[in-house]
Amino acid sequence: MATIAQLTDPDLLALERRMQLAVHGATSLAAAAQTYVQTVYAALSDSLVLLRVFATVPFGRLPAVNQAFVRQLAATVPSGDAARLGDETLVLSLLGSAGSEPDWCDPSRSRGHIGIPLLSVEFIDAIPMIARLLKQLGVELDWLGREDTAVVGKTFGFQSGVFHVAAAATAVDARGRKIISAQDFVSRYAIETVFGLGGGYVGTPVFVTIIGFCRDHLDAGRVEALRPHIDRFKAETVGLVADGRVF
Amino acid sequence: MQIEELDQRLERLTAALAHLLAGEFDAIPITPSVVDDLLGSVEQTVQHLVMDIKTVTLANRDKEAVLLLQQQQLEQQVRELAARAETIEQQAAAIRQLSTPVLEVWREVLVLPIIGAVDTARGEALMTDLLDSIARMPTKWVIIDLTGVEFVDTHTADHLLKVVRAAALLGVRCMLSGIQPAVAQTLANIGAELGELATERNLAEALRHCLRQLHNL
Repeated sequence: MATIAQLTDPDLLALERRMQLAVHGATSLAAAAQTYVQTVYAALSDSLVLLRVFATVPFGRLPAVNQAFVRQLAATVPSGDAARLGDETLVLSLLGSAGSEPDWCDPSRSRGHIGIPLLSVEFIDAIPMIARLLKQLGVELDWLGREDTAVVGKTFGFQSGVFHVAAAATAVDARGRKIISAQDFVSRYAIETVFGLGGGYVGTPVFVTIIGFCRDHLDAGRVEALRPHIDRFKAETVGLVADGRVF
Repeated sequence: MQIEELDQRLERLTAALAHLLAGEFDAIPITPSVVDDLLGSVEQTVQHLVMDIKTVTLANRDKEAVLLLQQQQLEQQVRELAARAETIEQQAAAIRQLSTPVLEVWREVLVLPIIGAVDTARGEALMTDLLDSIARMPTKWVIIDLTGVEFVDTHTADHLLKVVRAAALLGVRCMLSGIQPAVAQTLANIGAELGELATERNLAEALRHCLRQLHNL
């Protein structure tokens, strides 16, 4: 088994195809996401500590258990942001998870990341990794609060992008905050690089994001080489999203 | 391998390629297990081809859809800008009209009060409005009141003189009133030819002058 940094171009292509073959025929976006992370994690577990897939889903279309989690999370936020939570609020929802701990291999067992409501620019800005992730993936935040769920698809859904934090232990944002705020997790699992790949389903509010936490160093070019994963994942799931089969 | 099985596999391959050419990706069965023989490697290659082309095609469709969305957004912005420009033009026209009113203050006496600078566009509007008024109303005198003009330059002076000459061609005499000291100084400095014009200190004096002339007092 090779690390991500060691993969040759044919290795990368073979992995993409294997992943696409595995995802093909999934019955929901969540099922596809879980298959994706399991397939890729199995191939790259020397590098990956944790691999996750998130997607923006309107609050009203979340399963009850996810809604309860998000409602509870929103209630902990100071200011009036919690009042904004409504059926149309987009929630960055965890759809797939695989990693080196058993608890990380089932999205429903996540303790803190089942869903992050995109309530306001201020709310997102308080989570440095998510703020940077969305920004680098090309998702501007100025639409937040407009309560227009289609805005992601209409305005930003076409953009696919790459998120890259080369040195997870030390990288800080413009305000001097650690981008990966869970530094205990970073040091405990020797996380070196965090990367993200994102892309939207045009004309829908769904924006899918793959986030990987690696124990080896990846430069920007190597992360860029993983970008086709998004196109292949979307190619196999565009029909599911169009049919509203998210969970 | 039996001929019958070979036929079936070749038929599946042919069908897959036909669907691929037609862009009917959902109709192409993608199966993870591939038979380990020579035809199997062809089947696997076709399968890879299907996935690769499907991915690229759908990504291109996304880009086209995005371009269409962007085009629609741009068209909407152009429409909004055009509507805004039209509103601005209407407002500008209204302001131009308000900024060059021609008032009939006495029978056969018009007043053209000027406030602010007179550029080329405003000078032309001013002349047009005044000549229109002269054509519509019996007029012998026009008082150009400069009380609201704090500054003149060569262009402004030229525009004023053109107005005066145009009015004269229609048999109307003009006079200036309300010339501020700074304006008088500038007019003198730039050598504006005002000899043909009567001037008065203010509008009331100018009106009195006109009435005297009209009634030969």
